[in-house]
Amino acid sequence: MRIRCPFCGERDLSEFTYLGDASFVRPDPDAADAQQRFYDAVYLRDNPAGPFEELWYHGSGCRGWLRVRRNTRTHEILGVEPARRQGADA
Amino acid sequence: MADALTARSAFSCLLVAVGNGRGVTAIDRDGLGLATLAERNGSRSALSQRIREEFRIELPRGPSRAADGDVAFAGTAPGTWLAMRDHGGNAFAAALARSTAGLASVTDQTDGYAVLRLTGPMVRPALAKLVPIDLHPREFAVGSVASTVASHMGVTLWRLPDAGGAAVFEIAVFRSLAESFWHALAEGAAEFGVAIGRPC
Amino acid sequence: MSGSAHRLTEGGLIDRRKPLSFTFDGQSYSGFEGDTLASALLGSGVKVVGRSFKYHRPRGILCAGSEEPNALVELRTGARREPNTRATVAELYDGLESQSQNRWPSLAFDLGAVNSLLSPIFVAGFYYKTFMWPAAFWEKVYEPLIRRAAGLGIASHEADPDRYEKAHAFCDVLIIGAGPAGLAAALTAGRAGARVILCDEDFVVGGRLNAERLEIDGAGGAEWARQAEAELRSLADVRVMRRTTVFGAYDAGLSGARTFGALERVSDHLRLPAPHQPRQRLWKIVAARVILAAGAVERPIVFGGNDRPGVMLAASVRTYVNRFGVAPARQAAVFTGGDDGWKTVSDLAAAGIGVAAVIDARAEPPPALLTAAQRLGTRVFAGAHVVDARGSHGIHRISVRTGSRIEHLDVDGLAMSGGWNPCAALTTHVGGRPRWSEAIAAFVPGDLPAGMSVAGAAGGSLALDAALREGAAAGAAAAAAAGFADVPIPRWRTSEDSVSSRALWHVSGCPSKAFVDLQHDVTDGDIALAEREGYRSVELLKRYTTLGMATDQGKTSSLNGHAIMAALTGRSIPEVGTTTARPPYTPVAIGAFAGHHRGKEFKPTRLTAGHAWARQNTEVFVEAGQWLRAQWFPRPGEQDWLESVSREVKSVRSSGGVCDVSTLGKIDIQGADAGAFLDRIYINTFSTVPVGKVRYGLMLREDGFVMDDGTTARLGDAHYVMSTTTANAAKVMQHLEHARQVLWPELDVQIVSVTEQWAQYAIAGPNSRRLLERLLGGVIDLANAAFPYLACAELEWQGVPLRLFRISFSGEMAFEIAIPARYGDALIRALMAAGREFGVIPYGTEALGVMRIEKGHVAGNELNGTTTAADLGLGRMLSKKKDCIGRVLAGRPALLDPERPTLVGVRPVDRKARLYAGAHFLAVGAATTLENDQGYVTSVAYSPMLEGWIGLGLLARGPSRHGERLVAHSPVRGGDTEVEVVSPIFFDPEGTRLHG
Repeated sequence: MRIRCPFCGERDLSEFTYLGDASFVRPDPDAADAQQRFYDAVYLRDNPAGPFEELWYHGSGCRGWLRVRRNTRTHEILGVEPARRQGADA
Repeated sequence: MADALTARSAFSCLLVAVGNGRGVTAIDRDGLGLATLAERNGSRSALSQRIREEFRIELPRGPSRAADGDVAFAGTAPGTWLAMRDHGGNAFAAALARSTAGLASVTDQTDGYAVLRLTGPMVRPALAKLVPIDLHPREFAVGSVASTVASHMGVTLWRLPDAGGAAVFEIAVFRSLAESFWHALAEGAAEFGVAIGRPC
Repeated sequence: MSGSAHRLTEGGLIDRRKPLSFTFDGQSYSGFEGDTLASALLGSGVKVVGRSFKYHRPRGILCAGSEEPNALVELRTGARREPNTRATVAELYDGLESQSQNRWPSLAFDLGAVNSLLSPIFVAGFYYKTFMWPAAFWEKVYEPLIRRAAGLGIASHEADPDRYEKAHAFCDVLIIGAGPAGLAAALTAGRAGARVILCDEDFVVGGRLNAERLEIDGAGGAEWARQAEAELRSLADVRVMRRTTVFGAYDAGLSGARTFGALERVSDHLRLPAPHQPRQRLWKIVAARVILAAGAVERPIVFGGNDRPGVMLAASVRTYVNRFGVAPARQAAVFTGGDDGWKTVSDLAAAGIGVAAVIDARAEPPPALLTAAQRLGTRVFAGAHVVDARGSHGIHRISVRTGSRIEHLDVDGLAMSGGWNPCAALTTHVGGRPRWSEAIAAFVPGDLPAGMSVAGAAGGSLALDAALREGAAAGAAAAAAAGFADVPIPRWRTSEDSVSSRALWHVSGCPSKAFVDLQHDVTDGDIALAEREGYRSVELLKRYTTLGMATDQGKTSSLNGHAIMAALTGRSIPEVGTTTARPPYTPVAIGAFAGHHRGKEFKPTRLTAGHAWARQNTEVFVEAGQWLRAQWFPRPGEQDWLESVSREVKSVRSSGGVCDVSTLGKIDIQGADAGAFLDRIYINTFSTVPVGKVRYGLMLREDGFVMDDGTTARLGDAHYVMSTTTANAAKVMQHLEHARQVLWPELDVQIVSVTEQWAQYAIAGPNSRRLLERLLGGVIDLANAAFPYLACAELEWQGVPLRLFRISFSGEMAFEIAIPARYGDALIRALMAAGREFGVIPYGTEALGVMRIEKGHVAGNELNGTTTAADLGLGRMLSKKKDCIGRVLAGRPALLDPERPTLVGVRPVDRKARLYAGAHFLAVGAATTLENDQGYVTSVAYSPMLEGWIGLGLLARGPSRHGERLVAHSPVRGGDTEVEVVSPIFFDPEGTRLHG
C-alpha cells in the first residue's frame, strides 16, 4: 500500500504508523461526566468495513500526522490530508 | 586543563574504498553546520522575510532545497527546514537562532546527523538499494529533498547540481547509525566500486 | 553415458560448441550452454529425476517452465545446498551438482515406494483420519514418521555463504512477461519514451517464440525476440530484467501506482556469484501501470499412469525439441483434446522423431490434420483416450481405448494436451476475480485491479498475431496514461498460428492411478472421495485433499481437480468456482526477503559517540533497542560479572564513576506555549519550573497508565529539553507530535529530537564535583549554593557548547554533562583523565541498574504499560490544578483500588538467598493458585551495599505491608524464597548523599 503524504509525496506503507479512528476528539476534561466521555472516546471505537477516516503518522518522513480516508475492505486510499488544520498557518 | 577538544567525524575510520572502480564516490561532510529551523505559529511571512534579508534565500514551501553561497535551507516538514552552512559548525545554529529570534525555533543538528556526499556514474543504482524513493532525474530534480528510510534507517537526502557529468546527492543519517549506514551503502555499491573523495 | 542419442544435431538456442559438465546423483553428464538442468537431463537420456511426495513413485519431467510440479531437485552441496528447485528453470552451468529428492536409499530402488502398495490408506484425509489417537503418539511417533516418509528436499543446516540484497525500482509501465505480447508492449511504450521495466523469469526473452516454429516479419521468432531485446536495451528509460520473476502484486496508492515484488536470480546460473554480486536480489517495483503478459500454461490430462516418466505436456515437448535440441523420445505418441496437440506431431516429425500415433478425444478431427498424419505414417485414434501408461522408470507402453476396445502401443514418450490456462495469478493477488471463458475452456482475468491490463495468452488470446496486437495496444495505452500521447502502434506480420484450447480434463474408468496433483499425489479417486464425504466446495476440496497446496500452487492441477468435482456434482466449472492465488507466484527463498539483514546486520546498530572509547575498555555490551551500551568494565582478575558490577557500584558510591547515558531520548521543546504544552503532557507542572532548573516528570497514556518518565530541563523562557527512557524515545516523540499536531494545534510549540546531537555522560559519586571542577576550571561555580541539586546550565567550554545538569539516578551527588556528539569521544577521554586522581571509574548499565534498585527508582520493568502513577508510588505527583493526558481515566475507580499491586521493596529473609524477577507473591503456606496471587517481583539485583539480593515488586496494598513476610514463588527458576516486604528505598533513605 502507498500513502500520499501531503508534504512528502506518495510513499510506501512501511514509512507510516497506524493509530486508528480519526474522528477521536478529546472530550472536555471538566465536564461532569468526563470519565464516561473519555471512556467512550478511548475504548469504544467503530471498525467499519468500507471507507474509514484514520490517523496515520509519517514517522519515517516528515513526522506529520495524517488523516487518511481508506477503504478497509480493499485498502484503496481515497484521500489524505494533514491532521493539523489550524495553528501553524499564517 | 584538557587539551583543545578535537571533533571526531561519525565516519572517521569507516570510509575506505570498496571494490574496483569509481562507480560511486563518497565524501564526508563533517563540519557542515546543520540546524532545524521551525517556524513559530503565525510567523510564516515574517520568518520568510527575515531569511530573505539575511541570506537572500526564499524559504521553500515543499520538500525542496534553496541555496545561496554556502547556506541552504531544505524543507523537511511543513514549516520546518534543515538549514545548513558549509563549515558552519555549531556556531551556525547559534547565529541562526539570533537572527530568527521570536520567529522560529532553532535546534543545532550539526552533530546529530552524519552527512555523506555521494556522486559518480552509478550513484543512482547504488542508492536504489537503500532508499524507496524514485531518483530518476525527472522525478527527483536538482534541489529535491526527501526524508525517508534507507535500509531501515531514517535519512534525509537532497540532490545538488550535477558535477562532472554525474548526479550529486547528499544524505544525512543519524550520527549513531553511521557505521550501519556505511555498511549497507558499501555492501550494495561494492559492485560499482566505491571511491572516497576529499572532504569539501 | 553419451547423450548424443537424445540430442538433435542442429537447431535450438543451445550452443553446441560450449559443452557444460554437471552431475546428477553423483553421476557425470554433459549439456550445453543454453540448457536448463531438465533439458540437459533429457538430452542425456535421464528420465527419472525424483520420487513423489506421498507414494514415492518415480517421476520425470512434465513441463519446460516454472509450473513444473514433478522435477524438484537439490542443487549444489554443503552450505549452498538448495532443495526443491525445479529442474525446468535451473539454468545449467559448468560444474552444477544436483541430486534427486525424497528417495532412500536410491532413486532407482526406494523403500518408501512401499507406500504405493499401502495406497488404499494414503487417500485424501489420511492424516486427519489415521493419526487421531493416542494423542501422546503425535510428537514421538507420528510426526517423525510422516516427516520422513512424505516430504521434499532437505535444507542445508549450514549458514548460507552468499549475499542477498534488496532494491527499489520505479516505472511508468511494468510489463510482466517478455513473450510476444510483452515484447510488443515494451517496444511500443518504450519507443514512446515511457519508463518501462520488462521482466521475465526465463534467462532468454521471447517466451514461446523460442519454443515454437513461428515467424514475425519474415524472421524466426527467436531471432525477432533477440532484435526486440537489443532495441529495448538501446532505449535509456527501458530496463529489461531477465531471470526476474514478478511474484506478487500489492495494494496501490491514491495515484494508482502499485507495488510489485520481484525476485532477480542474479547468480543462480553461476557456480559462484561474481565478486560483490548477490546471489539473488529482491526488487520492490512501483509501477504507475502494469501489463500482465505472462502467457499461459498447458494442462495435463488426468488418466491412468499420467505421472509416469516420459509423459509430458505437448507444448513442453515442442520446447525441448525446438529450443533445446533434445529428443525426449524415440517413438512418441500424442494425446490431445483439440488441434493444439497436433503441432507436437509435426514438430517431432520435423526433428526426425517417430510419432506412432495421435489419440484425439474428438470423434472427428479436422480432415487436414488427418491428411498430414497419413503423410507421416502416424496412426490416428479418433474419439479415443489413453487409459494407461506403463513403465515405472520410463514409459514403454500405453493403452488406448476407443469405445470399448483397448489397444496397446509401444512408445517411450507421450505428449498430452489438455488445453491452456492463462497465467492470471497476479490479477487475483489484489482482489481481481477470474471469469470463465467458454471459448478456451479456462478461467481468464475478469475485473482487473486498477492500473492493470492484460495482453496475449495471459488474457486468453493464445495466438501469436493477437498477442502482438494486444501487447502493442496495451503498451500504447499505458504510455498514453503516463503522458506520452500519440504513440504510433507498430504492426507485425506473423506466420500462421492458431492455438486452440478445448476441455479434456479426465479419462474415467482407468485401470491404474490417475493423478490430478502430481506434486502432492492427489488422484482422481481422492477428488471422488472428497465429493462423497461432502467436501465439495473448492476451498474444502483443497484443504481435504491438499490439491494445489504444494510448492507449485496447483498451476497444472487445480482446474483439473475442480473440473472433476464439477462433473461429479453435475455443476458447471464456473459454478464450482476457483481458488484465489496469493503471492508468491513461485517460491521465494527466505534469504531473499532478509536481504543483508542477517547476523550482525539483522537490524541497524546505533553507537554512541563514546563507543570507540568504550570498546577500548570493555568487550561487554548489551543491546538496548538498537543501541549498544557498555554493560560493565571487567578488570583483570575479576571472576565474573557480579564481581565487576559490585566493584563498580562500590567505587561510584565511595569515590565516583562515569557512565555514558547518551542513549536516553532527548527532545528539544521550544515555542511560546512550550510550558503549557508540557503541563498537558506530564502529570506534574512544568510551566512553573524556573529557567535553569530540572524537574522529574511522568507522562501517561490517555487510558491513565504510565507511558514514560524522565527529567525535563528549562533552558530558557520558551525552551525546554526533555529526556525519555532509551526504549521509549521514538514512541514519546510520536506521542508529542500527536499532541502538538492533532490535539492542540493552537499551541505554539516546536519539537525536535536531539538524542543524536548531544553525547551525555553521568558523573556520579562523592568526587563528581571535584572531577568537574578540575575539568572545567573556572567556567562555572559548582558549589551547592550556586549549582544545587536539580540545577541546569548552558555554557561554553573551549569554544564548544556544553550543557550541565545536576541530576542523579544513583542517589549519589551526580551531574550529567552534554556536549555536541562530535566531541563526545574527546569528552569521555577528558573526563576519565581528570577523574583518575579521584579514583573515578567507568561504570556500565548493570551498575546503573543496581544503584537505581538500591534507590527504588522505577525503570522499564516497572513502566511496563500496566502500571499507574499510584502503583509506582508516584500518585502524589498528579497535579489537581490542571488537566493532562490520562488524568481523567487514571481516576477510574478500578485504578484507584488500594488492592492494586503497588511498589514495594523485598529482601530474602535468608539474606544469602537469591531473588528472581518475575517471581509471584503468595502468602506463606498458600497454595500456588491464581486466586492467591498478590503481585510479582519486577526487578532484582545483588546489592553490594546491603550485601544481599534485593528486589522491587508490585504487591497488593504494598505500602501498608512493610515488615510482612511472603513467599516469592518462581517455579521455573528458583523455586520458593521467603521474603520480607520493605521500603523500596534500600540505600540512604534520607537522601543525604544526593545533596553532597
